[in-house]
Amino acid sequence: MTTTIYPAASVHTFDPSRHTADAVAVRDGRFLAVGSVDDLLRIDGATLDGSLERFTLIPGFVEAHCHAMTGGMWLHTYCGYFDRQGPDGHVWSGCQSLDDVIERLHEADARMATSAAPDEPLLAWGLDPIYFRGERLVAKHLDLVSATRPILVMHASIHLATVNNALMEIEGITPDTDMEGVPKDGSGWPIGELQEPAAMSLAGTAFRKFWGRTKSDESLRNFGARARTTGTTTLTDLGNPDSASESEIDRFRAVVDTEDFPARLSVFHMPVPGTPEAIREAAAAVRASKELSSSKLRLGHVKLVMDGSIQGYTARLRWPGYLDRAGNSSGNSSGNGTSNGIWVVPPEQVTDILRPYHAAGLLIHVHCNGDEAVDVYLEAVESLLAETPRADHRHTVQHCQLTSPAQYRRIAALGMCANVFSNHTWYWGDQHASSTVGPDRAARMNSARTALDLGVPLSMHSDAPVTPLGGLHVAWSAVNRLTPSGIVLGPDERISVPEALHAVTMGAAHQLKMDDEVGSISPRKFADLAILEADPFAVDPMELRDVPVWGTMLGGRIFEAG
Amino acid sequence: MAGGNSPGGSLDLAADHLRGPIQFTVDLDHLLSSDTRTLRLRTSYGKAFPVPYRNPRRGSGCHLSPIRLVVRKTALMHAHDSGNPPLPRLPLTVVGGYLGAGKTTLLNALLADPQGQRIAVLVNDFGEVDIDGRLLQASADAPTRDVLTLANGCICCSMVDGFAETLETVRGFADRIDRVIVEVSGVGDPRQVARWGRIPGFTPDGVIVLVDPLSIRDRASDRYVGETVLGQVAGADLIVISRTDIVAEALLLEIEAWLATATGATAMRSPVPTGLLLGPPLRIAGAATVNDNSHFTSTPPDHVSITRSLDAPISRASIDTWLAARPRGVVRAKGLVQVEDRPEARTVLQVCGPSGTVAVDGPWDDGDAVVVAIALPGTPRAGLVKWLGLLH
Repeated sequence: MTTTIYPAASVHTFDPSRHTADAVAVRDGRFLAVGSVDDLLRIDGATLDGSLERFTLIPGFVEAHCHAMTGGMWLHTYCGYFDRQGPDGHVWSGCQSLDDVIERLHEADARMATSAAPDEPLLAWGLDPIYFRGERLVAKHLDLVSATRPILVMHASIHLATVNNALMEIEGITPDTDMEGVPKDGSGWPIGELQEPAAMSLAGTAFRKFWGRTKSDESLRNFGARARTTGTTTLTDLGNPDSASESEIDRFRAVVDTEDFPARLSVFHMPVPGTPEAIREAAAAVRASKELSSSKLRLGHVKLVMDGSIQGYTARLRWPGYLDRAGNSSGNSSGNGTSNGIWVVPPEQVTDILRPYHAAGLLIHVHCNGDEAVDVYLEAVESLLAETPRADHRHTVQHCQLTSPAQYRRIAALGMCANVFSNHTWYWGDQHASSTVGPDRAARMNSARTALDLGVPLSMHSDAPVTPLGGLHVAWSAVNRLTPSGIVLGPDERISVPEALHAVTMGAAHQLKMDDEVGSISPRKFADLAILEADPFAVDPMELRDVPVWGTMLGGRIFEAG
Repeated sequence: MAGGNSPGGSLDLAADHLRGPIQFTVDLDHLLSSDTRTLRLRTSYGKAFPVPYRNPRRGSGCHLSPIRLVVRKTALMHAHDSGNPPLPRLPLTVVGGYLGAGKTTLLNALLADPQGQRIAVLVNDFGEVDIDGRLLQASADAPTRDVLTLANGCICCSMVDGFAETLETVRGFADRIDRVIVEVSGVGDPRQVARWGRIPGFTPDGVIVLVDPLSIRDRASDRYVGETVLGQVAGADLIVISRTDIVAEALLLEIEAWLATATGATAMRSPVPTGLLLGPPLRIAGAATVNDNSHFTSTPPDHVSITRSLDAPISRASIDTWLAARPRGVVRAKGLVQVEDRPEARTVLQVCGPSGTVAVDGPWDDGDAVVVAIALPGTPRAGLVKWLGLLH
């Protein structure tokens, strides 16, 4: 039996019995022991491997809320405002003006000239014109890129796409297209914006390919590559409606259960509405699928979506609701016609939908961005626990962005967990302060400090592809609460570096019920590491996100980033 | 391809040119002032028509050389029916309402008595629709596992694969069905879903919202769903009040009075016959059938219906006036008409409650131009006659 000892510059274990060490010993894909090099060398037949000796080792990051489509986005051209690292490690600079967007698309079009058919659509993602001070990307801009190749640029909100005239010509989007969500110019010509899914579907082939490609093996491999470059060793796909079907499980297995895939992946089942009988059958199928889990592919947990998003004005908020009610008709295109967001499932059905899953002993995570959605979820868990008491269920509030201290106390009392969307402070903090909820409530958003102080098991997440995958950035955001405009938004809600890094390793492992297998560098756990080129405990907390990731170890195997 | 013309002139185009972008060289001074103008083109079909075009160099300074102008194929197709068979357009009706409002009951009634219409009902889950076993055909006949075929020609589709995908599937058997009815989830916004009626192959045909008279007032003021329910009611074209058999007349009157303040929709009490709910079985893609008065057999005799034949093409302006002047009580109106500025085209008029749509779906087929309207009992007949008379 081979035992390999890896000395390191420093080791932070997140194991309460031993916080730091000099080296780790790995056998059979698991940590055998941690300690000093001398201690570990006493192990029979141990060999020394010096390849990690200049690095800092911490547990591989565990991302308890992201989506497998993250990899698929990188099959399209990135047009977002912030710099963003792709699966191959290349950092794409942010597009900070319409000119930048056009230049990025020009380059992509030039690459396609040799690699793709002339009518193959150029697909792009991540555009966030909220930063462009009212300038609006329309067809005439994209026509500068190509008058012949169809182009579709999906906005970051995914509620809006911009297409060029070549695409409109091919798909028959004309002055005759009489549809809400297809704005026209003064002469009656569609300007190239397609708002909301019905209008976006007019983009036909391009629209179908945009989402279709995210379901490919290549997309899944890119997802794994993103894990490797960010030090992440456990991923989630938080919510897949087909996760209990044989063909979908086979599709995941074929990629994830190969040696080359550098991460573990927990695929959560997303329930679809149905009759009580249909929900019971689905719960039984999800329960059965749990048995098909492997050491890398995990099945059998459940994720439900309750409301929309705060920046999209679709999350359900308690009083006083949204600050800028006009936002519903101007700043965004959600057009939901109400001043307080949308319900994705009827509040009074939540208990009924969750009942069979809770009764089957499954773990339930529920997307609640707004505090009113949190109320409904907590009411449901309260009644489910009264009907079917369960110890250690770990039902989790996902996003949990506007949760009040009283709600956190209730979360703790019910034995629940919170997975907080810390990255929001950086990516939308300024907009929350100026537009959605105002500076006071914005400062209380994603209140990790409150959650920890009230004894709530805490994790924090990226929701990739909504924000970029990566535990360091998520932790940095919670530690500093800085916005792009330079404001520290809610200084009293900041947490320490050790607390933040615990949340994105052990905290997340706990919420995935994998805390006995991953999340810390502890004997018997999988040998999963983030291999860092600087010690995150030693750097200026403001530089936490800049700590370079050299690579990961997964089950004892080393994966170099990039 | 073609070239050497100016925006003021005309150009003869061969049919070939309809297949791709056409490039022109135009004089600079015609283009400096605006980014869109109208160019008159004449095709080999002998018709002259206006085509909007863009100046690709607007805003980028003065250019001394002639510039290339690209006219899009779709502009030409739009401006002139080029002989391609028009896409059949399936009327798409949306049925919404909060949980327990009676959506399933209504859909089951439509499927059980479709009045000769072949209806495709789109639901989230088959379990919600109680399909009589005798109606079910052999499953081998169903194109996919998500589609059930009924013996009366109706079909039922589950939307598990997503809404866009399901509509794509339905479009695939447009020749086997007459209309599509989409059931919206209890918290869904039916007015939003109705947008899908504008995608190619479909035409919007009304938003029907079910209202449970026993619970609607409580729902409308509920902390969690009040706004959602009010939004559903406000966005409706037709409201159907369910459970009328077990509710006192006084409450119904009270609910009807409340609805009049909450929505511009036309409210009716259940059961509402298929012929009234969906209107005359106008097959937009096929021959005009509105002269066939058989649809009135399913309309209760106390409802008012009027048919008017039109001898000559009507003006677009009169259509707009007509749509704006809908008298209270009109449930449905439909028409196949010729419009003056596009006499070669068949123009379809549809009114459902307060909503009206005008669509062109193919060449005029020399049938009779006709408009039909159905209104609630007690609606003055003279008012309806006068209303239809606005079309001229």
